[in-house]
Amino acid sequence: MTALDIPAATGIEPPGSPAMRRLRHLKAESWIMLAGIVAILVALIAFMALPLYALLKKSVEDDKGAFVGLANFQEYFTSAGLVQSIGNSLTIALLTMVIACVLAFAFAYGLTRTCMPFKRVFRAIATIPILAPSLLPAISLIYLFGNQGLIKGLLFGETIYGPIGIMIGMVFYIFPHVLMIMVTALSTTDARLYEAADALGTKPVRVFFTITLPGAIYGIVSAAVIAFTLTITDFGVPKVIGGQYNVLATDIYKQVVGQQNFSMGAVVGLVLLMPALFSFIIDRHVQKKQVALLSARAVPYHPKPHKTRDMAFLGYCTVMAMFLIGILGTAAFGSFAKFWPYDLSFSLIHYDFDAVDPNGWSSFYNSLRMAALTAVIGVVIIFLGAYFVEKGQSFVRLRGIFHMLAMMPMAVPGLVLGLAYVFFFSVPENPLSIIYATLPILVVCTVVHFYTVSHLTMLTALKQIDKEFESVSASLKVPFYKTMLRVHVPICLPAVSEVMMYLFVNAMTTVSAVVFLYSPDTKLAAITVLNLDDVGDQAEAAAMAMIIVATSFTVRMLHAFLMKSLNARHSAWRTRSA
Amino acid sequence: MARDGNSKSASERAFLEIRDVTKKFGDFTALKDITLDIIDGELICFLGPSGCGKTTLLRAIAGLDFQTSGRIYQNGRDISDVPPADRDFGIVFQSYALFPNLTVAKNIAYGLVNRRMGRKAITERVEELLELVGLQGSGSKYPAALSGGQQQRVALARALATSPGMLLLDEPLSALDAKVREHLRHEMKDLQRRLGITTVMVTHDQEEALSMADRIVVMNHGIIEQVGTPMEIYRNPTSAYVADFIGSMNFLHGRMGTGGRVQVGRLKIALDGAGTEFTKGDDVVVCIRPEDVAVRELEQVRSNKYAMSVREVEFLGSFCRAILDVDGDKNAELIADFSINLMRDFDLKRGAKLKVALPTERLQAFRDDKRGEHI
Repeated sequence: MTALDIPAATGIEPPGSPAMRRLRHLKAESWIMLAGIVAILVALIAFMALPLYALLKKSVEDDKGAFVGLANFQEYFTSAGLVQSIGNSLTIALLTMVIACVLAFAFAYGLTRTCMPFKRVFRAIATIPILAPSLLPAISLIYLFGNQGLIKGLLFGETIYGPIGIMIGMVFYIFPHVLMIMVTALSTTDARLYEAADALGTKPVRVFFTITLPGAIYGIVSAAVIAFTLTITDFGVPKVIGGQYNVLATDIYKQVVGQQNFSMGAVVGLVLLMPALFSFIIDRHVQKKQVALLSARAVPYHPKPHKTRDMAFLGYCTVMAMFLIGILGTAAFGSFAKFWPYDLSFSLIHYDFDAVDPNGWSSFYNSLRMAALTAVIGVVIIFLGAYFVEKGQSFVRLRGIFHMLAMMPMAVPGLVLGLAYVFFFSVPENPLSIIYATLPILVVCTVVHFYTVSHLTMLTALKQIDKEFESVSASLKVPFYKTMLRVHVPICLPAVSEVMMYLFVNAMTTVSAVVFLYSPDTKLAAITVLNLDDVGDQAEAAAMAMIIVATSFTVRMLHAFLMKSLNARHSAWRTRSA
Repeated sequence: MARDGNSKSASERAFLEIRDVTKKFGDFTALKDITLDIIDGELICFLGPSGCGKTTLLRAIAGLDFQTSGRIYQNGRDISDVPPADRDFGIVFQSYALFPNLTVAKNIAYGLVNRRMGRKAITERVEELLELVGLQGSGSKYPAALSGGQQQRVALARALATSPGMLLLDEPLSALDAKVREHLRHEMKDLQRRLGITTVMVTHDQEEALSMADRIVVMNHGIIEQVGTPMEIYRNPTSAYVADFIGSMNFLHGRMGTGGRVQVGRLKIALDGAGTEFTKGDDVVVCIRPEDVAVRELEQVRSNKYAMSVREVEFLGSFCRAILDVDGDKNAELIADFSINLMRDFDLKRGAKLKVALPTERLQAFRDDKRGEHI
């Protein structure tokens, strides 16, 4: 059958399992990939899974580290004051969720389904809250409605220090996050559905309830879940404006920082983990369904002008924009006013942070350093991780485990993560404890805290790249890392820039995770805002918050500029010919 | 082993030997005991509907997805467990997978750069390849600036750049317009013949397979239905599946009677040599291609002559497709392709009567296991 000069094909399996035989043939590049996956996997385990385990362990131990079973939980659930916080947290989170969703839906509707003018301006204004720590809206609200508030009469005798203040502050803080999802939900629709309804003579109200709302329902659920989670886990707003109204997030802080009761802190942390975990599961479930909803052949919807409707939404969005600008503006105004509310003349004395806080300006430089390191180190790890998950050629099981771990940080509130770090890294026997109370632990914690969203952004970018590139480069005998550097990285530069900006801005503004982890030498700007507010230096707190906003804003502009030049440079290979 | 139509002379050697290759995805068996020899220098086509396992087999040959069991030998070397980077092939995908951020020249040079070739040698080789695929002067363009057909040629040039021992083509033409496809089909076959490179092409397009392949492997549900030259596959399908998949075919469901005749509705069809394995009472399906239904020179035909009427005529450009039957008998409907000339000569239109013959040498008969599966 075969020619004589080549050995006959025996068809006999050589000894050993196929996996072992293939292992022998593995090339250096495969070992590099394996090492990379294992390294990131180990890092995620060491910097997320193990700390969370330490938290879990702490919750069943007393202060001396002896096992006490569920005694801590028993103590927690018999303490009326602490249990009250669960009810408070849920009330606040649910009410805020409803209010924010309604407001954001209407705003998103205006942006996507009407022909009102200034859409781009409104879109830009709506992102303002992202630039600020969540402490800022609370400080502004105190300026406006507090004991010495300018317009506290508008509350008709109600106090801003409590649920009302928390909710208004939260709506401001979570608005851009909710809006983003609502806009996506309302953008992904098929124009042909509306044409069909039109052709059948359907009334607009019925169109709204039979097409618009059902089409956006998954997005709305997703937005609601995000709103709920962000509200229940946020610490900045209730800390500043909550007054006597206790919620879970402030309880953790009080137990740990105030009373040094670590076990009880761990228990509250676990309680706080529950709703976050629950909403995470709902969100995952909903997102899976949403994918199937949109067919690739959908025709994009373009709204037609309608004077009354367009004017109504222009009015609404203007009011909403004024609220957002107003909150930011109040903080700015307060920071520049010489002596609120008696002498409102312009002054920069509140920006002399070193006069009121020993770590004044240095905390800002710490923040800059921390945010820059987070952005740079984070983006490298996140890119590699996403690359291995999406483009890895073998090690299917390892990559699956890694992807699962990468999704977990989303479900862990910052406070819980920070507390878990305290329990895990403060133990001197742990060799990793050398990073405790240093800048690196803040960087690591922040990267982990914001890992999931960055990971998903990167994954989305990589998914759009032809999946055969790896096969092609293997057939051309080019190792994967060369193709990754020459092809994937350049194509992913927009996503890389996006993730870096996201990490930087969040590192600048976050308080929750790092509030347990900073040392005097590594204090961050956002923590300084918290401390200044705590000791009553409200104007200085507002001023430092404004510095953070200005920094975030600068980075955002830098990102926008970078994207513009990237687009110009790469337009040659981005534009598809027809 | 599927040896049918494997017309190899002793001097032709098997370049690639596939032995009992099975691929499972969980409970699903994508390939079942595939055994096949691929001859040096031939263009062989894996043909079948989506999900038949043709791409899985190609990826197993490339080492992109390892088979669950079975062996693959290239030039006598067992490559079954060898990763793709250590195998010797070039590959072109349906999407072309051109790197969008690299110019055409850099795409083609992609595998050369890693070979530590000198810059000058690389430039020369790229020029040579550009000329080979007819894209002189396009080296500095980005892939997005090229048409689909041009992109396909760049992908081909890139795959050929390192002079691999074997070329693998995964649906290389499916993303193109019909006109471009026809043109490139010809061009690729010509190039393959000039280079003499052993080529495996996966396609679901039977026209593509018939016009380009030296041999066709018809696949279905993870097994090989038939291997043979395009003419053999078309003329002598060895199963009803192949008969149905390639070209148009009349399937006449009937029952074996006496004297080698099959009763199909009111028709009695003599099989002659084609039906010796059947016994009386067997369910049989008789096949004949629409173009083999004879109308002229019926005097020379002795059996299988019927008077039929034209129930429907469909004009298809260069020919007409007629549906014939005997007094409205639905069980014995016949599709026949007639040239425009013949239509005129016999004045065929709806309702016309005519005599047709089913030449026994054009008939094929298969056991009818699933009645009414075809047509």
